[in-house]
Amino acid sequence: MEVGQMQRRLAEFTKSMFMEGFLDGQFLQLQQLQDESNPDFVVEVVSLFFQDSEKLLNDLTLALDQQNVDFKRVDAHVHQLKGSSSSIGAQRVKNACVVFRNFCEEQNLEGCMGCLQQVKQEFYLVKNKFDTLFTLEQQIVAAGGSIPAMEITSF
Amino acid sequence: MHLRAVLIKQMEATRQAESKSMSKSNAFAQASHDVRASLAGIIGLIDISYEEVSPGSELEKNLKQMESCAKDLLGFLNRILDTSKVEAGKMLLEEEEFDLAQLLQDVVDLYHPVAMRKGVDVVLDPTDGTVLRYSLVKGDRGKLKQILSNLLSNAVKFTDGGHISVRAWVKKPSLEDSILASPRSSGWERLMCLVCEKKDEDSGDEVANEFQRSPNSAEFVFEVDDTGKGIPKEKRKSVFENYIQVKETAQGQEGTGLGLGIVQSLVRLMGGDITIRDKDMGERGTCFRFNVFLAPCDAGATKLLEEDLEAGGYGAACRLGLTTRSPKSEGSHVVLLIQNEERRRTCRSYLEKLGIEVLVASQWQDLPMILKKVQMKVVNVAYHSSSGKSEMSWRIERLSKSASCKKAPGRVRGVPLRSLDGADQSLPVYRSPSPKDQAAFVLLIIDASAGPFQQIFMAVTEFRKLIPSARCKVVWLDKPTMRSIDLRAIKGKLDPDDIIMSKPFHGTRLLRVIRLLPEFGGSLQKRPSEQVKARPVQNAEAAKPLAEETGNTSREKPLSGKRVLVVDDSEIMRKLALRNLSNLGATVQLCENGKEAVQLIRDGIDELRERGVSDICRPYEYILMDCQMPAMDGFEATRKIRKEERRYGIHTPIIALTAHSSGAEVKKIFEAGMDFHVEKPANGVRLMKAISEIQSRGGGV
Repeated sequence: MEVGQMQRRLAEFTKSMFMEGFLDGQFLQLQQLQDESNPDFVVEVVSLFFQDSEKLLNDLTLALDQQNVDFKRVDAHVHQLKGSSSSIGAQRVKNACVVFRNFCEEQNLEGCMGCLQQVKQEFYLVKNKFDTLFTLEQQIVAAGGSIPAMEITSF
Repeated sequence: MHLRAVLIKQMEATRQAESKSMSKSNAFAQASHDVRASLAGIIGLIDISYEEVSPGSELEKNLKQMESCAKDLLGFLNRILDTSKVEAGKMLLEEEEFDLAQLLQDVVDLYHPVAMRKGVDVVLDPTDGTVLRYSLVKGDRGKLKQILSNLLSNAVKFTDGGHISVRAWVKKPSLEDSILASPRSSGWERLMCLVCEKKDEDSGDEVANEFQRSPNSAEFVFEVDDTGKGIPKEKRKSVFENYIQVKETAQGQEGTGLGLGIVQSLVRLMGGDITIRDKDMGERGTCFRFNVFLAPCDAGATKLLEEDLEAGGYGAACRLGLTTRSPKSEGSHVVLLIQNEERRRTCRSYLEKLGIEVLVASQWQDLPMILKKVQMKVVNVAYHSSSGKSEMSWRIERLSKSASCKKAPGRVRGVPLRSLDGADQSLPVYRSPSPKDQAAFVLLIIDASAGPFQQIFMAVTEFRKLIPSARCKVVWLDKPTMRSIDLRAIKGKLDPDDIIMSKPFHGTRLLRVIRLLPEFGGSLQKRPSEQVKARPVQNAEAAKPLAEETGNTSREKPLSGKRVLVVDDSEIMRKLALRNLSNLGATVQLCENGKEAVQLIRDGIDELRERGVSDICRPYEYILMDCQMPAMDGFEATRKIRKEERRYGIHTPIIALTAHSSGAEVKKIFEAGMDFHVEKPANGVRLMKAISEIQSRGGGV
């Protein structure tokens, strides 16, 4: 596939991520922070997010598995996850966290378990999407092309 | 009796025909009303959209073209309805001054993107440059644009690969040169010849049109030449008839079949005619040629004297061209690496007509070899072999960046050096150059998508090392959207004086590049090389302020010289804060929780005391404090920090980073002693807003 085609695919794919709600405007902010002196900024931050989140999700699973669930602790974890997902623009993950926190406040175990599933699902969905995105980018760069800048329109 | 029946039948037929015509007119009127309404809507919406668009952006350019198209559509609509008027001989020609070269470029650029999507390049061929010289003309711009658009639109429709060339030139009026009209109207042709010869006579003009040929008008010839399906010879006449279409169109091709008929009418209205030219053997496609008469303006002549290209001084470049190279200075060399064959050909031909030496690489793999050739020609080192032979063996020993080379006389194609009388040296001889004695200038025009960019870039970089930097310039041709130039990949090492120019490369852009050459006014001064951190490349098309792309509201660094402490347990947040604040110019210190923050403040104060600073100032100008953290949260950290500060009478503005700004939360923030809060995620804009707010309150300087 030639570079132009790949670039178009990338643009379409990125756009779809926005359209489907996986990403919001914050991701654009992230992209804007990337430049020649920080050429891999987005990949770095997103990778960081994946690492952090996997750990958090493990911690959450453990925390909810206890005999006596410490909802404050659970809430603290979710709060963190909400923060980091919001900071990279992972909208659906963030939204799932919001719901999760409500259940934490109510100390509703069943609700929390359900939310955990939801958050995990959203997380893995967006992770897959990002994997595809970054792979596309790598292919373009490997073929000698460049990553086209996103047109900033309203979403 | 029989005759009467025939008459009645005939009258009936006439009545029917008239009635049909009436209903057609009515239908037209209604349709046109509807179309006009929709178009007005579109134009209005585009107008509104301008307000939301950043000036100079691609989006604004696209909007402008959309507006232009919509207005053209309105024009076309009117024209369609006027077709009958034309045929009845009642259409009027408008007259206005316009820039013909600019019009050609606009139309070509308009169709370029859509053609490129089909893999067809649309090239504006300057031919002999006469249109550039006489580009200011008086005539009916709208109709000419419609003719060109129509022809181009057809060409794009029926071409699936290769190129479409648009050419124009000015003809010297002579009887023999008048274009043969199609056989259909030989009477017209004869009349045209008469008019040609006797310029002032138009009284015998039988043809019902309003074309008044002024004695000042010149004949402009245009060609739209494509490599498409072609039109079979037998169909060539009929395509100009209304509603006729060549049936073997590509799938899904639509059309009213009106295009060429109108084109012909309009061309004739402007005093010319249109034909389909025969192509050479083996060449496919169609070439339409038409001529019209336009009056070149005198203003054009004055414009030619202006140096400023922007003011439409299009033809200036021609005037400035050196036709003979002065023996004292070596002429410039231009290296072309352009993918499209036709574009390559037309560029080269035009440059050579201007007396510039051109070397062409037809494919990117040839580039290193071509560059080597140029290098040999440009860098002259006198090498005198011990045997005193005048035969030259080009061994370039040491190449200094300064232009301290001895120049060999004459054009360089492996021309032998000037041997030093009697001298028997084996070392190269250098002599500092006098102004008359300068090494040649090299301009590289490189299509950035002609091959893998990194390799091309490497070849160019290697070449540049061997040429004095003031004597070499590179123009990169790139698509404005989908850039091939990956600044990331080359780590921003583009030379500050390099230019990235948007495709398509022709018209004003071509001339702008020519002007870079010393013979045409190009300056040889290099900009002082700066550390290439920020975007170093001069985008010749639209200077998009860097601000737009990084999200800063201005290019200045508002936090330059300020130290900011960031306290956040999330690595992601720290990373983001670091980038945002660095972009704003701040020096950033990161830490993970409140405990560390308090310690840093204490350490900062201690350091100042140890240095013997009498008036202890705050160690950081601003602190960004996350509220929720392990070990010690933001509130407690703030309280502790305030305690420390009170001892020295200092107060550091602390900005709370909070996930929610509920009333209770905000109260907590202020009670703890923080000054401001910003909702997470904190981006550059939000941070600056907070800081400005603090500054305006007088809380920080």
